[in-house]
Amino acid sequence: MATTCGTIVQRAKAANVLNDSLGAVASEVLARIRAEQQEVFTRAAAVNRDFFQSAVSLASTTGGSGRIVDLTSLGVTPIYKPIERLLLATLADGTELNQVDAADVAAEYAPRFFVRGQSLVEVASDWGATGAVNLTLVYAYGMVDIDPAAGLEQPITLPDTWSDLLELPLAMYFHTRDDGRNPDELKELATQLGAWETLTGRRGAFLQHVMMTAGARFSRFQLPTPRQVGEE
Amino acid sequence: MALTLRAVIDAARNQSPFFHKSRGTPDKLLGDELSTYQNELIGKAVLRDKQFLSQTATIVLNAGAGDLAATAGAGSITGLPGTVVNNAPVPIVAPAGRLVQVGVTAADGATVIVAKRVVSSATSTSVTSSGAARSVNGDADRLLVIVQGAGAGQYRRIVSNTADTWVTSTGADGRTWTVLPDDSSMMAVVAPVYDADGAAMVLDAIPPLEDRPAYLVRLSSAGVPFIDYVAPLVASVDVGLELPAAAEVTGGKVFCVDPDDGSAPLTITTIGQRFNPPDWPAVYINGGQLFLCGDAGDWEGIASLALEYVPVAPAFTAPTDYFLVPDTAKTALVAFAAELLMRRTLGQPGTPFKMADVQSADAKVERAELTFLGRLGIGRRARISVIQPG
Repeated sequence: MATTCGTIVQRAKAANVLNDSLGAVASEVLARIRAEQQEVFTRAAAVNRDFFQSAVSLASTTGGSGRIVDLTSLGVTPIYKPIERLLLATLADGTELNQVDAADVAAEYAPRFFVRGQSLVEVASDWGATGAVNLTLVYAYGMVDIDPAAGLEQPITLPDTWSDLLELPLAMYFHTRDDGRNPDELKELATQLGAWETLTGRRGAFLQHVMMTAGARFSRFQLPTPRQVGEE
Repeated sequence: MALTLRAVIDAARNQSPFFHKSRGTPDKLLGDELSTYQNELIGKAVLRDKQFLSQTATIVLNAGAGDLAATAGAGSITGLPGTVVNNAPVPIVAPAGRLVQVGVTAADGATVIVAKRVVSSATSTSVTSSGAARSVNGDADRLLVIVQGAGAGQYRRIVSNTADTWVTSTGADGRTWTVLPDDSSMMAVVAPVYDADGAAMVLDAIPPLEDRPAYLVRLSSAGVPFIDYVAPLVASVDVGLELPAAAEVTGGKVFCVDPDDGSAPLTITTIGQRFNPPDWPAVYINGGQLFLCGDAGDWEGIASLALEYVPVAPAFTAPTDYFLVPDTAKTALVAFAAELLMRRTLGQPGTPFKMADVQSADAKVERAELTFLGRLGIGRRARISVIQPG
């Protein structure tokens, strides 16, 4: 069963008995958990395209050209996980779509698309006959959004075993809200949490887990990733 | 020829783990460069062997008043030269031009709607194949092709159809079967592809001439200038046949109306000698267009021309496009693409390549190219001739 935001708050408070007396507003802690969890998925998608991978078929708008597939529809549909990093888009017959820049659509052969905000936009009439077209998207998924205006019963998307990646930053937040606390406590929490860039602490362990779980992969190419740290 | 752009690009990318297209070299860029390089290879190959990649364009002499633009109107059984726009034939009002070719097989690119099946019976205006179970008039405007047996090779546009019978003529439209199919025949229904690439052309007049009207500016009684369309000044100009994109025209011959007279060499002369060519019949080429020398009398008894040429390969438009050069050029093409990929990764983070590697790849391209061109010489030497070929 997925850990809830309420459980994250409880565990963060348990880091120090002094936290019990802090009056934390739900919307405030939910916003902190939301931001922290978003960063975890963004960091994971940057170093590995498989660990949080999903595939889905999405219908485009109708028409004969310039059709659009709205990626935000993934986030609002509970059965689909929201997109963090698009890996591959194909037409129903398996033809791979080529992603181009909106300012340089002639850079690649049809069928093509470019990205506009959270949408994939067809170049000319590359996707085929008039009407809605189903695209199959393979992507690294992100977190199911947390609504800061809703309750603490909302679940987190991270696997339970890594929920402390959200608990530790929240405990540090509680610490900084309470003037006069022992600074060593903050240092200790920061050490436990670690840093993404140096692959230390729980953050480092998580990224290592993400990168090595699938084992060695046979590949023709060294595919570039958006960032250099922990590149596959 | 079975070498696709996709095969060459894949082989080139396989040369290094750093050649994935996400490293900044899309397929289209490679395809564009390979288009240019292919024509460079063709140019070098033609210098070694003129017959390399030689293709034939045919020109039909169809001089007759019934085919002139003035008489080829709606309801007329005569026609005009044409072109193809969005896979539909379009007439061109000119005394010379291209003919539209029709592809009716899957190999030609046509879509087979009803695979070949036995003809149960046929009339001059319809064909029946029992049990076909087609939707009524669903095949209208497609082509019914007789692929085997009596009447094989004929095709007609479908006017209408029932579940098992296709009407191909109204009877009065001149489109009845030339040879009537019967129950020995097999038929198919296809959505054809049309082409007017210059492989077949027609001359509706000899010599083909075109009127170029121009007008004097007149003044009305009020002193206002106007164009008097009723009284043009007309000049006649020769009309040339626009040849297919050719690296070089290498020769040609003419075929006589009387099959017993066979064929004869065609003289390709220069524009300077067009009034006095070394031999007749003769043509000259100017600005990518072919013009006939002489007048109708010089072409009497000739039915058609066959022109040998080495084509300019068109630019690739999809990874599934084929190369014109033979498979023996693959090594050179792959080496060229790999060199380009390597050059474009220079300076990128993590790339292991240096300028020296690119220079080494350049040398590899040259070696592969020489090997390909050297093979052409083997074929050329095998042709026994008492005259040193040019």
